[in-house]
Amino acid sequence: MIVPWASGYIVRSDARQTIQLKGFVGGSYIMPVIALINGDSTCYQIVETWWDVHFNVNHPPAGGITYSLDWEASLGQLDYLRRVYCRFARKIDHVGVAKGYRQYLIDRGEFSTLAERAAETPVLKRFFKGFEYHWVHSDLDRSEEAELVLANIQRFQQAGVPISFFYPKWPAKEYSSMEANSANWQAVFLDEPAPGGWPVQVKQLEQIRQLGCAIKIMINLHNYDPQAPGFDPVKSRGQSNVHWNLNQRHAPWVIDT
Amino acid sequence: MVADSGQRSTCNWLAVRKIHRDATDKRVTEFNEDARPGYRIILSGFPGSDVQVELILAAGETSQDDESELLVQIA
Repeated sequence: MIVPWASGYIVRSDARQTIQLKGFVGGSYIMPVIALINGDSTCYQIVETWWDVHFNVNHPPAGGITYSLDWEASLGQLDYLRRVYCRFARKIDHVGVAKGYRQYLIDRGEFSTLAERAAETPVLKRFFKGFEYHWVHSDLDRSEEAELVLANIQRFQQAGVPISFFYPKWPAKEYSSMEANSANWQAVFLDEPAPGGWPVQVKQLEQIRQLGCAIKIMINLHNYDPQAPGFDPVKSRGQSNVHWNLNQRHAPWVIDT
Repeated sequence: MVADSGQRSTCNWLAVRKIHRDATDKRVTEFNEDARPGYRIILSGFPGSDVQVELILAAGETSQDDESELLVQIA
């Protein structure tokens, strides 16, 4: 199964580990398309009204895959129609599915190339020219880590490898070396989102920028964490996970208000 | 929709069946949009409610070779 969750997964129906990938398109899922492939037969589904659709892929160990597509209830309103296209094809793999989705966007006049996007946002062109150095996590047990990262960037550059930089995700709660940070937008309410507080983060970003690197900072707008500052239960709805996942329409409203 | 014995795409057909059973007024008309022939099913007359549910199921070809498509729309 082709699952565009986060950076994208291919899930085998006979995989031995438990896999559960759920979330809204626009948040956890990066594209409104999902595909099931069995030998020469492929079924892929494109959700036209994707902004409040929730995919849920479940795979028990060696137990096949169950997948559901749910639209969030409009809660008392009739609201707009929901539409999905289920496409059936032979002899296409994940590349064929990607081409099919691209053609769907072209047919609708919604497709844009990377070059067109870079023309609109020039820093993208700079970012694409470099290899991405992903500083995953600022390790609290290594006080010299920031200096090490800067030295690594320079080492790559001296070897002729251009670098674009992914700055570590901030947490929405207290910083921990034990947990992966969420990049949750509620981090803006924290005085010290990472070791040293905001001044240290600004200084590090400036040092990286001075090395000529384009910088990517991830901010996740779709998670609304009840344990993090700025949480208002009145604004929350949907599933009560530890991180309350919000749909593409709901998230901007929560942040704006 | 069943892809094979190991992968399954589910739809809450039990909910669909309940909606269909509860509706006292059921109309089915032909649907044809973008060369996709199919059916428009309109359900209404639910007890204590003036809700009307419209379900469209239509099949056709896509612009890709050797590929067909089922449109599912609910409103």
